[in-house]
Amino acid sequence: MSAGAALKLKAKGLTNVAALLGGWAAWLQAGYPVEGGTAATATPVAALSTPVPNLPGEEVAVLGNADAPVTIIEYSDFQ
Amino acid sequence: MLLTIPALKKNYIDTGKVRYIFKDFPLSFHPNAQKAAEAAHCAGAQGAYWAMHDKLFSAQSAWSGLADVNDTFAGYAGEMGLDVTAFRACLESSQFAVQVAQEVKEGQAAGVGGTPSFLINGQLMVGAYPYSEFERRIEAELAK
Repeated sequence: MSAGAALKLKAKGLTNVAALLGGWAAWLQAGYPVEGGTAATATPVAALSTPVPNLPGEEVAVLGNADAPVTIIEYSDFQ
Repeated sequence: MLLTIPALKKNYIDTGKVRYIFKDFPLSFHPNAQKAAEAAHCAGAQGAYWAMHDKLFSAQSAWSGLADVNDTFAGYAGEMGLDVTAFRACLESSQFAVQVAQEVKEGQAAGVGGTPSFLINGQLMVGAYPYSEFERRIEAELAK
């Protein structure tokens, strides 16, 4: 890792930290072993947030019967 | 729409002729409109959608200029006898943000670009019209 990153980790109290002169590129160039593979898939933010309850707008913001011959949908904002 | 809904309700909704659906369309230049829409849904999760809807419209001038509306909206929830802790958790976690965004997307697909807009049996009507215009259009649909 870079010297800057190493210093930050040391400042946070980690002791087993070393800066790698020349960084990742130098490590590769020197022919040292690396592990390959595909990048981890990021977890979508939506999957981490509170699940949306199964209450679609039609069920909470509706007046009148489903079989009424006329449907009016109002689009408004409150401001 | 606070003025027209009671008349519509009495004459058309309660008589089974009209189904009235409210959808959110918070405009980007109204900074608190998104949170207000979410607040209505958070109240709706406790069965008080329309009570919060009416309160947000009638108290608009009290909250529209605030930097943070959460306390004010939680206060409204308290006045309505809702579970304020649950309401606040819902609001602060943006639980209904995705749904509000979905409603906006639906509106845009239907041609909505400003508020208020109405789809009366699918026909777009843009602007706040008096009750008589709703009456005329509803009667025309009923006559079909």
